[in-house]
Amino acid sequence: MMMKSFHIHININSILFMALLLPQTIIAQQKQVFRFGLQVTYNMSYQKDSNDVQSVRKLPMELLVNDSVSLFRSIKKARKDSVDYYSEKEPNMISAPGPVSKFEYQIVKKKGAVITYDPIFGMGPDLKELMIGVYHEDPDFLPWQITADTLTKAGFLCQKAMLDFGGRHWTAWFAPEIPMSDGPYKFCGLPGLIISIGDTKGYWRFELVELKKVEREVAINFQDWYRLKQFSKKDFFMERKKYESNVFALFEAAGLNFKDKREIVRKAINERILKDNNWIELYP
Amino acid sequence: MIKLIPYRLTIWMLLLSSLPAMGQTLISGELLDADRKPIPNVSVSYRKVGEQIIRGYTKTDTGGAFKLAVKNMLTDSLQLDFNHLSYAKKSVTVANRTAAYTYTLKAGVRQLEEVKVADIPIFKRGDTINYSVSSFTSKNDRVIGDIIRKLPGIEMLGDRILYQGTEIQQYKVNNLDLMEGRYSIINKNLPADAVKNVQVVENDQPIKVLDSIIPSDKATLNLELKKFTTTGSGKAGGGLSPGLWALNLTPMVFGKTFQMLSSFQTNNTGDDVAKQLRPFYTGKGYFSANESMGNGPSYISIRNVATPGFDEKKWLDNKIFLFTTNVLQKLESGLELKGNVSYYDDTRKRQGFTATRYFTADETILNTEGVDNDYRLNALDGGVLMEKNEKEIYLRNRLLYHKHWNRDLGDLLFNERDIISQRRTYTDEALKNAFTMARFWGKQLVHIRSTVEWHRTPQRLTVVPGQFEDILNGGDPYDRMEQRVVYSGFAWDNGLKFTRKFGRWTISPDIAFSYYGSKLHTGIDIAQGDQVDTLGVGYLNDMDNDQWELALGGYVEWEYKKWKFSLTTPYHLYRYHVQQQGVSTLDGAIRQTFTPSARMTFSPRGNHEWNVSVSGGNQYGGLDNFYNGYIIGQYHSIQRYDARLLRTDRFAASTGYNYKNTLQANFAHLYYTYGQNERDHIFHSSIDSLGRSTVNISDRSSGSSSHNLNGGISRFFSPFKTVVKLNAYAGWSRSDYLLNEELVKQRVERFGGTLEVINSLSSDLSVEYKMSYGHTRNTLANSRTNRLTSNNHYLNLVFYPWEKHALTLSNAYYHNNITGQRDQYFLDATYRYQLKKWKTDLELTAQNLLNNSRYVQQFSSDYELVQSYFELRPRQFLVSLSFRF
Repeated sequence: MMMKSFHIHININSILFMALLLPQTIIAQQKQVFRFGLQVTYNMSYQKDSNDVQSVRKLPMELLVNDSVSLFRSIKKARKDSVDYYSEKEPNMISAPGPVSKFEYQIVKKKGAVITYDPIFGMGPDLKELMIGVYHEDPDFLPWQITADTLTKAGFLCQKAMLDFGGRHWTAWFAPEIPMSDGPYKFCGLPGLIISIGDTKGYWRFELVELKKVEREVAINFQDWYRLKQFSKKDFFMERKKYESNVFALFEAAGLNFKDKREIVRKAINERILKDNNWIELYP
Repeated sequence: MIKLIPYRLTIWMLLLSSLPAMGQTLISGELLDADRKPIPNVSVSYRKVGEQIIRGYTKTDTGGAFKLAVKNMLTDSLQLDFNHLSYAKKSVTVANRTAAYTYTLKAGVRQLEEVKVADIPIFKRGDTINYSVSSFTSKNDRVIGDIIRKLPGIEMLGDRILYQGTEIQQYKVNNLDLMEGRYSIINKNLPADAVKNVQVVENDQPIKVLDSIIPSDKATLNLELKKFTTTGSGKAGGGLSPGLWALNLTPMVFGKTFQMLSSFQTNNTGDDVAKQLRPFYTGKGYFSANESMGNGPSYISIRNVATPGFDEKKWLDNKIFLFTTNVLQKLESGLELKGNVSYYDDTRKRQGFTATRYFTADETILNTEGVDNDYRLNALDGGVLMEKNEKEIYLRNRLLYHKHWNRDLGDLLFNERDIISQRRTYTDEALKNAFTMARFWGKQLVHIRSTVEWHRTPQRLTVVPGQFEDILNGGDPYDRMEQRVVYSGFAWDNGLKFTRKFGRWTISPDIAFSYYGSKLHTGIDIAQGDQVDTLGVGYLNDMDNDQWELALGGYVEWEYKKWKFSLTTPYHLYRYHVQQQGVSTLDGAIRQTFTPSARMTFSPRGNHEWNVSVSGGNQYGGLDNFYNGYIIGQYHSIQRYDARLLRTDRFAASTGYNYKNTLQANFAHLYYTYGQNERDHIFHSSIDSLGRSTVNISDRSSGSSSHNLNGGISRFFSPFKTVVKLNAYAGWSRSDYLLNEELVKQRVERFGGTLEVINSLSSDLSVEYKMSYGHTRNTLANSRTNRLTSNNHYLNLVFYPWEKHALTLSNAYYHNNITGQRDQYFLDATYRYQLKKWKTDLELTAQNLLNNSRYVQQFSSDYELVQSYFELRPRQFLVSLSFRF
């Protein structure tokens, strides 16, 4: 009897020990599969460096919708994922240090929550996502103000709505005749699909390119190396910023050797990180 | 219900007509489906009747309920719209007053009109990434290499370009590969503003036959120019002391179907520009057949002194003139023709001092040598290439020619007493043709290769006064000895290879048939006064060798999820024939070798990798060392070998573990390797009291074995922005050597490590510190041991005081256990400034500020301990301007 309880004691201790070692907030891998019937494609244009008009880039994004959930992500990410999902392909290249790619996110909007899955630290040297940061936002977080202005865009009569969000003033045009209160990025909640939205300084803009019926089964977060971790939104942005400011040193510690070009490379990387100063949401 | 509304409305209008319709009304309600179940998430909006503008909106909650706060509406009635993707649209008109309603929505999927406003923009065509040069150019950038270095995903190691950590497989301009791997000359000289885009084609299969059949994980780099143009760049610099110069003029033409690059460069600043002529890749992708051509064997050399293991520019005393021109023409048929010629003339000086202790069984011999050498290197290289790279067939033929002729002069002071002068001439003339063809037959890839290579390599060593009196002149001193060697060789290699993939398996058998023939003529002349004697049998070689080879090989690879396994099984059958002075010493001897190797990798999680490899088999020494007449290899060493095929049995095994956690910046690796060799022979050295060695081969079996362990960890400390890396090694080895008729076992134990600290806390200053420690203990005959210890420190500081200015300070401190040797400290500085207006850079370099004249190092081999001093470049200052046109 004594022996038995002793054993139990040990087991509880070891479990506690493990629980203390592992960060509490690491969530078990959570593969999710959705079926979508509608694909809305947006063209996203953005100015990477707020001081450089030349740094404007374009990226097509997709919003997949069914009657209860929507998923927003870049088409590039979508293609990569679908290849990986069906061929179980592992990346076999090596990545170099630089700013974290800001377009690997996946935004799931459903009743009660807008959930962002975003590789917070980008890719490791092996091109695998180091960690998927997860944060939840309330869908009623967007204090839209609708106005009486209307405009026909993409063949739809659109109405103007305005919003202060992420440190920017946004102007959106939504089409009441498309019965989806959804839109690009995290933008949702208007009585109609957002056809176009941009910030008032002209750095960020999403324009509807295509709306079509599809039959798509989409899996997210299926890679076995994915480690999901819950963050508060504020912590997420802070941790990412912290990582970026140390990325050169981190990769150097990983064994990348620049020899006599070290200073040149370090300056170049820092410059690139400095120029990547115009994130869609601005947090100090 | 709806029909009732106008009626109700009239009543309300009558009742409320006297009240102002300002303020706020609250319209609430509930939406149900046909089964009276609440519908959540329905968009509810209101507007003025007859208007299109939505004035306010809300959504139903999980209970299907909604509340609409209607504000500032100067109207009596409102239209409510209910929208949901899975229900038919419904609109109702209600009075603008606080009330509650219940409505039912009909199920029915909304038929949405498909819309297409524009085409989706192409962000990345296939696997091509376009980097717009203008958006990556900063004011500091001159040549395209400055841009490429900065591009995301690209790094440069020295002049080598890596994309995502892997070497690029091709470097092209306007989709043409002019330089065939010698791209650093373009990278360093093509002005950045001539280039529109730098394109990186990921997973590029450069051979069209293989396209979409054999995947490639390599990348090709292509420069897309703004226009077809003539461009180039240059540099001019001068300094003291002695008088220094550095000049470079590199014009280039990039036309639609024609490209050309020429370059003239000269300097005496220690910059070995001939390196720009060395290719970073040869051949093309999957069929990178052996297109490189080395030099023929060198049998003789003048006594040299070990060069320091640090930056060549600190010690290389050179005077180089280089010229190269390269052309490419693409014909309408798709055939590409390329030609190149280059020539350089380099004069190098090297001075130093060596103290060598030889440990024989019963004595230790100490020799000192003061070395003062002059080298003259001349090299002429040329080549013609034809290539057809089509969907159906891949054909490539490359013809290469070179002539290298060197003349070395060495003045040597032996034991601070005897002056010995050496003169060596070495010429290598060679021609090579390499042919490759590939096409598919069904699912089978068939690859044929054939190469022919020819060398003629005459060489001569003259030593004054003559050495080896006992062996060469009956013990009498004499004035001069001369070794003559003429080598010529011919090689013909043909191969056929099939490759096929079956699911997780790749199987690739191949068969090859080769012939190697060589002729070696050597002779020794000794001279006393005007009398010259040519020594006879035993001192000359007149050899005619040939070797036929049949090779059957197999390669099998299996890959599944976390496991990868590969096995190679090369089998070779050789037939040898050797004739010495007309007599067959080896007639149709047949030998077989089998050298299998296997490797397995297991990556259980992304962070961990474990691998094991094993290889073994037997090998035979080639015929190049098959001579049994003496050859003087150096003023102090002479050798002859047996007419016998030397067999070695080898076994090697290794296992290793890698851990990486980029997130926490922890990295670790640990490797263990074991190697074992069994030989049916041993090299027998005899050392006389002056340290002169005679080497031949003895028929005694011998062996060696070694264990090596090395590991490292590195970690990033984020609060200090500091990377700390620690590496350590330990090794034990045993080997047999035969010295002066005594068979001795040598044991070596060595251990050591390095510590590196790299700090990047400030953007105006960067600090890098490295320390290395090494210890070697050598146990020789009679338990005589010697120990070597070294401990070096390096500190590199870079300041950025203002924009456009940079100052670098490099410090190095060397300590070793050589008695009587003081520790050494070196200091260098560089200052860079940009002349924006003139599109020119100004650089001031001060090298070896403390004017140290010597660098001291020591090392040990089988039975000798060498301490050497090397004369460095003196303190010097150089001012240079770089420009482009």
